[in-house]
This record gives sequence, C-alpha cells and structure tokens, in this order.
Amino acid sequence: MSSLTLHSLKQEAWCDTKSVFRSLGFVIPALAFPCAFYLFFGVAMGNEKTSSYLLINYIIFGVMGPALFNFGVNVATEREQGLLALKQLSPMPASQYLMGKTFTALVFSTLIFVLLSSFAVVFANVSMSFLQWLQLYALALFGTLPFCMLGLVMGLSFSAKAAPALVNLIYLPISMLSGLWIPITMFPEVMQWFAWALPSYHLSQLGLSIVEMHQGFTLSWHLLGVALFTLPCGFIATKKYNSMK
Amino acid sequence: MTNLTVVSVKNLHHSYGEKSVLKGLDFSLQAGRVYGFLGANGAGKTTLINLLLGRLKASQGSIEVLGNKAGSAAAKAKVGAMLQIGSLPANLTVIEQLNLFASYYKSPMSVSKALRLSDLNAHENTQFSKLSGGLKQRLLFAIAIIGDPQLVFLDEPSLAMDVNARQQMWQTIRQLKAQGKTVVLTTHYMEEAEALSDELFILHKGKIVAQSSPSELSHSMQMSEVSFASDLSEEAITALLPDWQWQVVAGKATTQCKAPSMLLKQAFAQGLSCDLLSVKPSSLEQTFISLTETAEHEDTTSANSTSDKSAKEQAA
Repeated sequence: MSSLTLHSLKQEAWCDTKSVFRSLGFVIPALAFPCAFYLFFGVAMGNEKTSSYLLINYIIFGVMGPALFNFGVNVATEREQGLLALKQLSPMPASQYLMGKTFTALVFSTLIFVLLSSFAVVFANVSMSFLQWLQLYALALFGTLPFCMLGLVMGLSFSAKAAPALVNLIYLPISMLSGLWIPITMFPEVMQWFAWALPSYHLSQLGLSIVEMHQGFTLSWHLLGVALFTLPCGFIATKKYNSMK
Repeated sequence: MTNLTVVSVKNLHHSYGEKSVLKGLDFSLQAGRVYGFLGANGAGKTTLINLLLGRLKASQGSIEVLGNKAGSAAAKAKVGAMLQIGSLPANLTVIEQLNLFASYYKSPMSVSKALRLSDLNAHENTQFSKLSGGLKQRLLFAIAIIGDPQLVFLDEPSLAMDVNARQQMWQTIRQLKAQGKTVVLTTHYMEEAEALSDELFILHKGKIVAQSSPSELSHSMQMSEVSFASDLSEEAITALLPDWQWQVVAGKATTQCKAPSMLLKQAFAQGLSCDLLSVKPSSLEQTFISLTETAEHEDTTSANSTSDKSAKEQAA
C-alpha cells in the first residue's frame, strides 16, 4: 500500500468516525441499547450461566446495529445527497470509502465489547481466561463485517427515507430469529431451520463455543454460514456501487 | 500547455430510454481557456457535464479528457468538479473536509491556498451543517479545486452566492485560467458567462446552436437594442411601429431589431420624439433568446415539413 493511499485511508477512517461520533443521536442509542438489554436481562435477571450466555449474544446484537445503520442509513443518505458522487469523481478507490466506514463500525464494536464485558465482570462475576476474552473480541470485530455488507447493500438500494425503516425491520427480527434473545431451541422447528440462514445465529454459536455453550455443530459449518451470507452481499454491493453513477 | 486539446468530443449522442438528450455533438476544448455552456433547463448541459466526467456512458460517440477516457482513474486525477448535487458530511468542519479531499490526490493544492481562493479563511472551523447556502457553495468550489486539477467543471457554481463571494469566485476562475487550467462552466447567469468565458456554447434541445466568443456571438446576430423615453403605452407604440415587438417599462420603450436606422426613420415619420434615444448591440441574454427561438422555429419548420412530406407520400 502506497504512503498516499495509507494517508488517505487514515483520513477517510478518521473523518467518518469523527462525523459519526459527533452525532450523539446515533451514538447514544447504538451503545445504550445493548448495554441496557444486557444489564436488565443478563445482570439483573440472570445468573452466572445466563450472564455469560447473554454477554456473547448481546455483543453480537450490539455490533449489528452500528454496522447496519452506518452503512444502511448513512450510505443511502450520502448517496442521495451527492457526497458519494463527489467521492466517485476523485481518484479515491471505492474500497477506501468502504474501509473508512468499516473502521467506524469496528470502533463501535470495540466500545460495545468493552462496555458489556466490563458490566459482565463487575456486576455479574463472569469469568473467562485472557484467551477467551481475546477470542470474543476477535469475534466481535469479525462479526461486524457481514452486517457492514448487508447494510451496504441496503444503503445502495434504498432511499434515505426508506433505509432507516428497512434497517429496523431487518435488525430486530434477525436478532430474535437468530436466538440472540431467546435460544432457538425454544422456537418451532421451522424457525430453527430459518436461523441457519442468518449470520447472527452462526456468530452467536461461534461465540458460545468459546464458553462451550453452543449447540454442538462443527464450527466450520458456522464459519461457512457467515461466509455464505457475507460474500454474496459483498458481490451485490460491489455490482451496485460500480453501476451507480 | 496553451493550444493543447484537453477535451475532445466526437459525434456524441445520449438518450435516456426513448428520449434523446444530446444529438451529435462535436467540439474540442483547449488548455488555458474558460468555456461557458448556456442553455435553457433541459437543453442537455448537465448530461453533457456528467458524460465528460464519466458519470454517464455515452449512447454513441467518443469523449477524450486530457488524453484519457472520461471517468478513468488517470482522468480523475487531473479533473475537479463542482456539481449541482453535492453535500458533505454535516458534522465535519471546513478544514477537515478539505484535508480529507486533499488526501485523495497525489499533488493537491495546499489547504490554506484553497481556503484563501474560496474566501473561507474565516470559516475554517465551522461545521458544514452550520454554513449558509452561499458558504456551502464556496466549500464545494474549494473541493473542486483542491486536487490542483488541469480541468475544472463548474455546474451552476454561483447559485446562492452573494455578490462578494461571486466576485471572489470569478477572480479565482481567472487565476486558474492564467495558470493554464481549463474551466468548463454552465450557468444561467448571462453576465457570469459573458464576464468569464473565452468561448460560449449555446445548447438547445441537445444540439450546439452557436459556438463563439461572447462578443462575436452578439455581433453575429447583428441585433441591436433600441430604447427611448415614451409616454405611450405598449399597445400605442406597437400600433405606430407594428414591425417590432415593444416593451414599455417605467416610461422607457425598448425593442430588439436588425436595422435600427429603418426603425428610427419610421419612428420619426410617425412623429415620435425619441428622447433619451439609445442604440446598442443586443445583450448576451437577448442574443441567447434570439438564437434559441431561431433554433426552435427551425425545429418546428423541419418537423412540419417532414410530417407534410410523409402525409403526401401516404396520400400518393
């Protein structure tokens, strides 16, 4: 990577993060929502076992939101208002714009991981080895990517007015159907099968495997599940971005 | 750099579905000149700019920008643009936005120079959402030139700008020209086009109906504007001098004509005193109206003759 690209990439990532973090109306709900849920269901109502289980699921739930909204809603708005057109006129490669936005989503994922983990340790006595915490953090970062891609497809497909409603329409049902709030074993069998199509279910299972609370399927199946969701989304988004002028 | 062709357009056609928007344009633009593109709404100006920028793919014909394909990475590195659409992140300050866009180019203009040229020094720490409409336009102009481009496209750049900001932008455009850069300007302000352009292109329904310097364009029409003080109403003057279209505003009668001497002879013959008489070449605005009206008339005549011919063929 040339020094120009690196400098430009740093600027892009830093500017996108600054811009998003100056919108308190975005930052506060994005961080407060998973924290409030975890404190209520995972800490106040939970025991040692459910606290660990819900910590992992609420981290997955937490990283989904900023990724979906920063890509889905902000890309739709920037596309409609002409910012994307201005950027496309410059020699900046498209990937740089997306990497900048992904960086912002990863910053949110880090904050959500730190906040929820702190609550888990301080208020719910959740205990994990350093390696397990590290694995969980890596999962939070990795788990951001499928939702960045899904958000990008939505941001490039829908209007700035429609995007927030559609992102909400997807975000909450996906969370529920993936078993992030209630284990999918409590759902009817048809719905359990549906969870296999959702990346959040696979990410949840990968996370739960760290504390050996997963359903027991081979981890490679879950990795494949995430890949089978992320790659087509990435392909569609690339097609849409390139055809958009 | 002067006399170097920076844009070459050959047989350019563009359609949106069935609707043909550009119909066989051929022209080239040279380095170190300012080109104005004038046309009514829907004449095809913005479509043409989008094609030159590579934002649209031409239905037919070829476009070369600085020796490269329009919209290619090599062309993008040397081209700046200010579009009619274009918003920036609301929460970033002027200087943050300029630093960001400067980072996209290999040899950008310094941010302090871009601030100075767009007269934004006093607002460098203001967030985009807090700028007035005119200041937002100035920032978009600064972004268009931050890459130190050889070719700059400005699509209606002075919209919402106050008089001072507009004058500052004109000065900057002249400076860019003096540095050998080429500026392509579309505007609805005739005075702006006249003040800045070395060469004007008048577009009408997707065709270039005139291409010349502003003064040559006015002379080519050989139109004059005749005005004098009059107590008479528009109807009364028209009754006396029916060969011309008159406009009476605040006691001043004005018309456009090709032969002012003939008009004046008739006016004196009708006993009009013609106090405060003024005869001058028609303004660019009037030339523009006349040219587009002529083109419209030719279009209608040609359409009528085509339909008459086909009706006769059918009858035969």
